This record gives sequence, C-alpha cells and structure tokens, in this order.
Amino acid sequence: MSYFGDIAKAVSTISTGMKITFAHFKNVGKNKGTFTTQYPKETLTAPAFSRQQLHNNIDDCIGCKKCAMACPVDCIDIVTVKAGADELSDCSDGTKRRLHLTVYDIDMAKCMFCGLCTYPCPTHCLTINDDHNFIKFERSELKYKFSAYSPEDVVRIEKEAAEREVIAKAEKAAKAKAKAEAAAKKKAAEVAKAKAEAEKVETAPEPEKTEPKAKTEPVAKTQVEQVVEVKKEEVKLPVAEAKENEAKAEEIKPTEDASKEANSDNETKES
Amino acid sequence: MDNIFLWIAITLGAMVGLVSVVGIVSIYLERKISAFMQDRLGPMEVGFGSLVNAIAGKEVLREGRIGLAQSLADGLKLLQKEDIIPDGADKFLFKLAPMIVFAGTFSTFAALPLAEYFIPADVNIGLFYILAISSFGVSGILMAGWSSNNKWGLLGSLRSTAQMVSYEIPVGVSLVSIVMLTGTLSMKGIVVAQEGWFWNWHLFGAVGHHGLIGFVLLPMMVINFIAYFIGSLAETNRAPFDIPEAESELVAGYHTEYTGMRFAIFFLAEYGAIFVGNAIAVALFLGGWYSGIPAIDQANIPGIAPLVFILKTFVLIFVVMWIRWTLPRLRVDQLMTLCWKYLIPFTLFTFFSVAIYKVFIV
Repeated sequence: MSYFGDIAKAVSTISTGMKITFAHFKNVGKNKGTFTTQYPKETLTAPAFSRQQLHNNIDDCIGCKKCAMACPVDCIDIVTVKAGADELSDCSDGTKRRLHLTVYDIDMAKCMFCGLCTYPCPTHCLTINDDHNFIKFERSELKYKFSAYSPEDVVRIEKEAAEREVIAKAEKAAKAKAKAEAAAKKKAAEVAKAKAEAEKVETAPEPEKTEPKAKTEPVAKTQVEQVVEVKKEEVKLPVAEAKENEAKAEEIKPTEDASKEANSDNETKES
Repeated sequence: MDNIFLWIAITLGAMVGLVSVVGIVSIYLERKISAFMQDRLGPMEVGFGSLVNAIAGKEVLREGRIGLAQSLADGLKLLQKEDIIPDGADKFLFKLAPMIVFAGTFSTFAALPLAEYFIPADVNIGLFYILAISSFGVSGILMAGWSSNNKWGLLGSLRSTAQMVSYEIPVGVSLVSIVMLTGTLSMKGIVVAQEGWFWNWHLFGAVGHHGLIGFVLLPMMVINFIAYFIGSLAETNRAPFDIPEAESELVAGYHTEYTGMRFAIFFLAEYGAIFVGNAIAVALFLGGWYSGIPAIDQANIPGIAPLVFILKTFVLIFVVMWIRWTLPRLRVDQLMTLCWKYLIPFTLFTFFSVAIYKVFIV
C-alpha cells in the first residue's frame, strides 16, 4: 500500500537527513569541522599576486607622475617641488631624485585595484600587495598619505624652493644679459673679422693683379678680373649668412628662457 | 493573606526567571547547534569574560571564546531598539498581542511538574489546563497579524491559526491515551505513575501500572509519542512546520511589523512554548523528574529532580533544533495532509487500542 509506503519513505528519508546533519554536528572542532575564520584573530593569506593595497616606498619615488597618468580613476594625487642640488639622496637603484614629494596621496576608496599604476613606475617603488586588512570607519581615512614630509616641512621646502627660484631667476637674468653682451661682442667681432677678411680678399688679389700686368696680356687681364669678382662675391655671401643666423638665434633664445620660467612658476603655484 | 501574596510573588518571580533563563539558554543553543550543523562556529565573541572585563575596565578574565553571553547582549540590544508601531496598525491590539502570546506561554509554566516538591500549581486538571492555556496564544498570534495591517502578518497569522487548530486534535488525542492509563489529569499524578525503573515510563507501555503485560502497549505509546512530538512542533511553529513565519515567503509572518522588545517577547514566548511542549512530553512519556534508575532518585541529592527534568527537556529541545536545521519546510497542503491523513488516524487507532486494553485486558 502506498499509504504505509509513503510513511516508510518519509521515515527513511528523514533519518538519512538527520544522520547527515548529526555527522556535521559531531565534526565540530575537528580539522574538517568548521569553515569559519575568526577574522580579526586569524586571517587567511590572500592568493599570490592578488591586488589588495597600494604601497609607495616614498624614499625611492622620483615624482615622475607616471602612476597618476596611468590611473583610470585618478585616485593618485601628486604634488612636487623642485629640490636643490644634492638636497635629496639617490634612489636605491641609483636614479637621481630632483623633486620633493610634498603630496603623494592614494585614495583607496576610489581605487579599483587594477594595478595599472604599478607597471609604469620607473623605480619600482609603487607596488600593490596582498595586505587586505584596511578597514576604516570613515571614507576619508581611506586616503593614504605617503609623503614623508610634515606640513611644516612642506612649508619650509616650498619657501626654500621659492628663494632658490628667485636666485635662479636673477642668475638667469644676469646670464642672459652676459650672453646677450657676449653675443653682441661676438657679432661685432665677427662683423669686424668679416670686414677684415673682405678687405683681405680685396687686398690679396692685388699681387695677382700685378703678375698678369707684367705679362701684359689683355685677354688674361680680363680673365683675372673676372676671377676676382667671383671671389669677392664668394667671400661676401658667408658673412651675410652668419649675420642672419646670429640674429635668429638671439630672437629664439629669450623665448626659450621665458617658457622655462613659466613652467617652474606653474609648479610652485600647484604646491 | 500576607502569606498568599508572598507565595504568589515568589512563584511569579521564579517562573519569570525560569522562562527568561529557558529562553536565553534555548536561543543560545539554537544558534550554536545550527552553526555546528552548518559547519560554522556560531557566536564566539561575547562571553562572560569580556562582560566582566568591560565592567571592571581591565582584563580580569580571558575573553569569552564560546559566546556564552550572546543572548544577554542581544537582549540588551533589543531593549535599546526603537519601538515602532505602524501608522495603519490597530494600536491597541498591536500592543496587546505580544502580551497575550507571552501570557499564554507563561501561564503554562504554572502546572509544569519540575519536581514532586516544585509544582507552582498542582491542580487536578493540570494537563487540561496546559492544553487549554497554550492554545490561548493562538488568539495573540491572530491579533498580531491582524492588527499589523500587513499582508505578510495577516497571512502568517492565518496559517498559524489553521495549523494550530488542526494539530490540537492529534496532540489532544495522543495525550488522552495517557490520561486513560493513569486515570488522572494531574501532572503530578501522571509523573508519579512512572516511578522506578525507566521501563515504567509511558513511552514503553503501561508496565508501571500493570506489570509485564503493559509491554503490549509499547508500539501504541511510541506512535503516541511521535504523534505528540510532531504535533507539538507544529503547535510551536517550529520547522518543518514554520509556515506562519516562513521567512522566504512571508518575511517574518505575524511578527513582521514588530520591533525591539515587543519582538523579543514574541521570540521569548516561542522558545518558552518549545520548552513547555517538550516538558509535557517529558512529564507524560519520559518519566518526568525520575531519572529512570531508582537508586539516583532515592539518594535525596538536593535539586536532582528538577535538574533531571530540565535535562530531559533539553535533550528533546536538541532534537527539535536538529529537526529544524535538517528538514525543509512543508507546504500548507502537505501540512494539512500530515495532520488529517496520518496523525489523526494513527492517534485515534492508539486511543482505541489503549481503551480496549484498559477495558478488556487489564
């Protein structure tokens, strides 16, 4: 009868299920017993090459901003200030550091853990590691500041950089002035030289002229005169070209300096 | 008069304490057992160690490693929760419902025979009183679902009512067999009838009453016990009969709209009802406060009788939890099929068998 068959089936299936749960109940505390990790007290190691947290070894960072360029979500914020000569030590791989990193912030709340920022890093100072324990209570706390400088340091560094810049500007101006003077002198000297050469050229053919005179050959005379005229033209042309080149160079140089100054101004303003 | 009031106060205090302790311990056990059966650890952080340390302000005890104080912490948390009463609710009934549900459970504790010397009220209709009062909670559940003005709540309470009314029958009939054997409705009388060795328990027939011939009733009584156990599961809305609060269908059933302490009272009442249901099973089928070995009972160890009773009850509560975390929920029609097509015929069969035994054999 299916009525009692159903009862038998119910009893057997229920006992099977109860056996299974009791087996699990018995296994508590054994190795295969529980799968819970008591998280803050015991942690699992993340899989190898897992991307969890960005870390910047600030002593090796040269402030090239390649990581910030690579970041798809713009979570890396860098501000640099030019350093004085020999003010900073070299990186561990020997690369020269020329910039103070007054700000190097990574906002892990924005970070999408792609790891693309670590690839272009020339000194391999920016790494993404498997440390996944960075729980914070405020979103702002997820902004990791890697810069080694305190706010007072930053103020000092900026002040020093500004002073250096003023000095550099003055030096540059002086240099430019000296250069301009030197260029003018050179020009004058060259002009004089060219004149002298031209005179030389003009005077030099005279002995040649005398020789044909001695021969007194009218056909030859005319030939010599033609040669002299050609030579005059040849001498004059290079001098003119040199003059023109110098003028051009003087025009270009000041603009280059100006653009450089403008760049450095921008950098200081950012900081 | 003074004495009576004092006695009432002490009994009430003791019972409130018992209900609370039973609730807290049951909830802790439930969480731990469910965790172990699902390969988890359950509550691990809130132990009495951390509680003591928090009060002392320094490390006095080692941190609790098995979460013993978790239920206390949850109770404290629920006390601080906002008490929300929905705008559309019938506010009077909404506030009344948890009280009625809890009162229904709490009143049944009055007739529980924890020991020969520890029955708050040994009335001569004890069993009848318990069955009647424990069904009283249904009206509270119906009230909760209706007054919430919530479709989940109403559906849950309707299901609960249908289920409880149906399962009253097999539960009642299976208990009537015992009453026929013992000839009394007094809880004390029923337990005393099972004194001595464990084969005198009603689960193994009527040996305590009529000697070896009582073993004839063994299959009847086992069927009765199983029918009563299944029925009590359904009456206390436990899985696999938890369709009134089926969380995957009805959010939380009749207590969907309840928060804070009102919800906690429902919860406490539920676990109290489980305790009462299994305590009745222990008193009627498993020898009550008798340990099953006469030497232990006669040794006059203070407090052994209530301890044995509560221990037996908690063994059954473990089985209840074990069932909950094993079996899937029944459909409404399956629930009714189980009750009307299986339990009621079987309990009626045992009822008539016991009647025939009582009239013709003994």
